[in-house]
Amino acid sequence: MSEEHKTTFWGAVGGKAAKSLAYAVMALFSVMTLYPIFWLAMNSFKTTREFQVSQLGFPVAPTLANYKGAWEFGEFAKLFPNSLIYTALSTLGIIFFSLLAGFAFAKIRSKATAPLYGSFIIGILLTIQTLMIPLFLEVNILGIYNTRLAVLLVYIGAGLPTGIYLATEFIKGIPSALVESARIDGAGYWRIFLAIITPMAVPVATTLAILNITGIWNEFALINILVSRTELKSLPLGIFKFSGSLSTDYGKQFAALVIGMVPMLAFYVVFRKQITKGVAAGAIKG
Amino acid sequence: MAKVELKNLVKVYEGNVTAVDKATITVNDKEFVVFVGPSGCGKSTTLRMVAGLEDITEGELYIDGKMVNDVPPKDRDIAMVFQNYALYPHMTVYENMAFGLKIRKVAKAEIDKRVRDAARILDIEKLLDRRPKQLSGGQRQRVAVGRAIVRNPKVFLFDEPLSNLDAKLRVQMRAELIELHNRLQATMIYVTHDQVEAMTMGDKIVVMRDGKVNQIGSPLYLYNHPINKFVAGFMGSPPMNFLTVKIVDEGGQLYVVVGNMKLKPAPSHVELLKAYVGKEVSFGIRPEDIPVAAEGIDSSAGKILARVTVVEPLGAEINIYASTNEQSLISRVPPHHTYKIGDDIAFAPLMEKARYFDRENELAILPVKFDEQA
Repeated sequence: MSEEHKTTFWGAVGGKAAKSLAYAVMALFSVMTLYPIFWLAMNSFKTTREFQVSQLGFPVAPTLANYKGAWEFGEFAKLFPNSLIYTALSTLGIIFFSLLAGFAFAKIRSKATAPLYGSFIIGILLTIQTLMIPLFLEVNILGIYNTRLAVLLVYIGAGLPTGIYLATEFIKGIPSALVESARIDGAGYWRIFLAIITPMAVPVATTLAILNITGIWNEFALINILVSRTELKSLPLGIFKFSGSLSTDYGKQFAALVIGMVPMLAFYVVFRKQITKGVAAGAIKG
Repeated sequence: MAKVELKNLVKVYEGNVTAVDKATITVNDKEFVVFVGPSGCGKSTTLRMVAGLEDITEGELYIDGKMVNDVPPKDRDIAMVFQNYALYPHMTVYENMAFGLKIRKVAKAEIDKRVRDAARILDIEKLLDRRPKQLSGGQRQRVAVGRAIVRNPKVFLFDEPLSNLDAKLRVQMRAELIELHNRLQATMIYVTHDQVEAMTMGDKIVVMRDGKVNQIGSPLYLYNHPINKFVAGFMGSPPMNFLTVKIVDEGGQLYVVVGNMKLKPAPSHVELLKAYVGKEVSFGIRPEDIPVAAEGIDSSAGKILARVTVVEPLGAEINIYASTNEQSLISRVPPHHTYKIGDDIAFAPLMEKARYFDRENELAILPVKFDEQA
């Protein structure tokens, strides 16, 4: 066998080995991600008693009682629509204001651009924990504690720094000649925003939608300090109710977690292509 | 259609950078005027001030007799074609062309008629349903022009519209734009850094350098009567030859001395050159005005002896690069000459065509107008 053949042979073996290793690692990660979901779903069909006896086995007599109980005890009929409203309106608000501000920062030159843009960017560095008390006080001073408005305002505000950063950087990439051409064509800034910038900014809007839909659907810390009335709460607050300080009804808690997770899983399955792209775009821009 | 007047237009950017310095230009109704100059000369900034895309720092701008310094672009009744075409990528060709009319609330039937008429003129009827990314560079250029045509504006502005096209397409589009101007009889201002485009397209050329207008005139006037060394060197390809010469008076006869060779200036130039006796000046002569001294060529004014360094046969003519002891020059000669590199060669410059420039301020010594029409 010539030297060249040997190299090719070992090269092929090496390539196969590397490929197998890559698949093994990916398989491991898939199991690590999927198994907890599977485990959770499986145990949500067991009674708490059965769960305490067998935590890894399949349910002997699968029951939907946990779901019925969880839905009623957690008052999900009220919380589910709340979560939908908060997620949808906040996400739309974040996208709209991010694109609007991004357009202004990227394409309309002004002396105020740098300080204003900078003041939004600083927001990226602030953690939720540092904002909790000031936000709680502000909401009380404004007299909007325990209102949907408070939740929406805070969610939109919290999403804007990252949103404006991503939108501004994206819109900077749109050639200024397009804006100038539209101005000469007779369009005002508002028309340019709606007819030219927004359709071209769909990729960044998708990224913002993905980041915010998952984030807001699962958000717990902020809404926990903004509302106390059940009819204003979201799903994560409802699910938290199942962790009692003295005892926990595991069956119901698992069922509640599954209920909270299903919309996100469905969202992922439907939009998985856009999510992969969006996360990658976010990663590059961020 | 309209007349555009720029009176002492100044553009100063932040940091006190003067991009345009007192530009005074008149673009007459139906005229095709080309602003030309090297990059950074302020030609695009001047155009953008006319468009309303840049604020005017000082000076006055009139379109159709009305001062428009503070009038927004949309109300100036202008259309502009950009270097990178600036087509809206999410709209079809039809929608791109109709956009400006839609905003101006033109009736749907009228929009349709105008778009289809423009498409027919530009031969892009079959492309109306396509998106810009499905078009070639030349097609995009046509759509960009079409978008301007449908608006039927007072003034068309072109900002280096052909510079993204390949050489062959550029020549073709050049001819098409000239034809379009003849057909539309519109006022057009065209910006380019390419002097060939300027020479072939413009009724009038405005040569700019370092933010200043250097000279204004018809292509041939600028070619034959450049106001300074820059304009002389910028217009024409290959460029004008510049030799450093000395003006000498020998017993009442003036000579132009190149190294150890003596040339007799044209009689009409003698009077003006007298002021430079004993001084060095720049002697400018175009490549076609310095033929090889051969039979049938008048060489009574003297010859320039040189050695051939490069021969460029172009088919219809040959460019011969040659050098005297210290200076080099280019001559454009008929194709029958068979010179080779290293050959000795003698040129007989047509002294009547020679231009002279002051060595200090580089201005033409012979009388020349700054603005041919002024």
